[in-house]
Amino acid sequence: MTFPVRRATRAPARRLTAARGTARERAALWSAYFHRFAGWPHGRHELSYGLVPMSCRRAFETLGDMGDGRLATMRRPVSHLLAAGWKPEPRHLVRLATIAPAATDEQTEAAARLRAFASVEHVSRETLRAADVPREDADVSAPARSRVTIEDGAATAQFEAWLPRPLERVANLIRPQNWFELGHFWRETALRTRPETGRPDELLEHYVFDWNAVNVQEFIVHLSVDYSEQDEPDGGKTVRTDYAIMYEEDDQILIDDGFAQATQVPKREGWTHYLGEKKLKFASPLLNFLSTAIVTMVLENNAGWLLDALPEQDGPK
Amino acid sequence: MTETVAREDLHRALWTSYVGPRTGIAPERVLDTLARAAAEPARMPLVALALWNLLADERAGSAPALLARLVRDVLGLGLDEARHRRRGPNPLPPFLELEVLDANCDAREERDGRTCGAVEICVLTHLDDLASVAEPTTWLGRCDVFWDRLYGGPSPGGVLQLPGGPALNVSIETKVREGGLRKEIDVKIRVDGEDLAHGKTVLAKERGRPGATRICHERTVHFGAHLQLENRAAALAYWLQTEAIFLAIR
Repeated sequence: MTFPVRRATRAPARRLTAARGTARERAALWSAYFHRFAGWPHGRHELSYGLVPMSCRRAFETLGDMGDGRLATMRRPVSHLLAAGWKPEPRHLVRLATIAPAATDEQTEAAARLRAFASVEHVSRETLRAADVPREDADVSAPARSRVTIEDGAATAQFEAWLPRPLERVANLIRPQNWFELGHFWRETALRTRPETGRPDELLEHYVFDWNAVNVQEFIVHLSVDYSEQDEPDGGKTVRTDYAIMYEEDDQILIDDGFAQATQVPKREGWTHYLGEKKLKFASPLLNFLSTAIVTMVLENNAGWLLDALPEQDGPK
Repeated sequence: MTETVAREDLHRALWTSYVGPRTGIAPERVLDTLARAAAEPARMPLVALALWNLLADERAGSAPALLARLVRDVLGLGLDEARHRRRGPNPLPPFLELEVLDANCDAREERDGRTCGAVEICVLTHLDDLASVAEPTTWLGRCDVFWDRLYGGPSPGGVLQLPGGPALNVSIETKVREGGLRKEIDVKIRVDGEDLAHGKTVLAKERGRPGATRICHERTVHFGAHLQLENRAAALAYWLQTEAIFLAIR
């Protein structure tokens, strides 16, 4: 049986020329989160050979090679390298300064300016459940934060941020058919209409993790997805995509559930509140040991790409 | 051919399952009424609720053969397994027509003659499929054991029959807010212009669970002004559970 499909894939020419670079980026990204969450900046070789991540230095240099149009994507992994204990060498400081947000105090060093981007709280499941739409008096300048928890052997991460972009632009990337625009982890996505529901509610995603520069692991995941919009009584608007795994074709993932939600608050014109949550459990006990790092990487990377994929037009008011 | 059970008889039998034999109806008669109601598909969810109440009462074994048959036909369980499950935390039965992910029921009497209650139920049914059922007059009309008469139009109202109380001519005021993520329904029920009950019902898509909908059904009732009822909390629990189930089952 064939299904109506809306497919997104990388153009062949681009795929050929960019594949090596994006694989190195993914490996560097993963290495940064490994060092922060597994806490082994000097003990990475204790892992089996296939999973040994890049060193902190090499991860930074690879991330630093990304263009300046990708600063939002770079900031968090670099901040995690610093939080993990990596000491930049003098030759890294110029690039570090360009990755850090603009200083308001010239005496503030770049590493200190990046510190807020490494904020991760370990919380209870109830704290995550309590998170909801933002209040009107919310402080949009408050740093974005990740919250993580472990429940039933599954890692759950929640990422909350105020994005200086209007909802209309963010909402387009919350739609599952456009997730492909949110990073290099997707090799291909296809939105299908399931005959049993009659709705475009199955997303097939070909997802790629690079554990290091040589070892790659692929997942072909079938997700149940549901995108919705709601006009709020206060004049604001919320859009959300809920998703839950149906199956992974090689049974490598047991749980992959979550949502991405963007909310427009009337008194915060030009800003959008973003809340993403993901719960992940692998079949492999070793990957579950690393799942907090993996799930936080995926969420934070998506939010970074939300900004990088939507270049600033008019600043928030 | 099975005889159709009278609405009033079913109402009394269901109410007895909440408060026990103090209604004066013998347990055998309650089971007999439930058995006749179970033959009507539209009544099955109500019978399931009543059986769940009866299973909580260890004394409800006076007609074990009939009870066992009903439990098997309506809940799809053996009697021992059903009793074992009833001792667990779930306040609602396993409906054959509905996959319930979790549920919570709470009703309590408060000061000033007010009784407050809430039923929360998360079901594996898409919001879009429930939203059409949630048109207020259609929905309340499906809970016909509580209504002698119900009419829509510009000034909706009806004759409300709460258990153990007199029939009340009421007006109904509703406000509905539609949306893709949730549907909200405010309901006010008045007798002679005075508040009898008000509440809010929200059907919302469950975050991170595509296809699941959480129904939160809350109500506050001013029984004191119009009804001298005993067991007000039980009456409200019965009312709310019935309405919540008829929102969840299409």
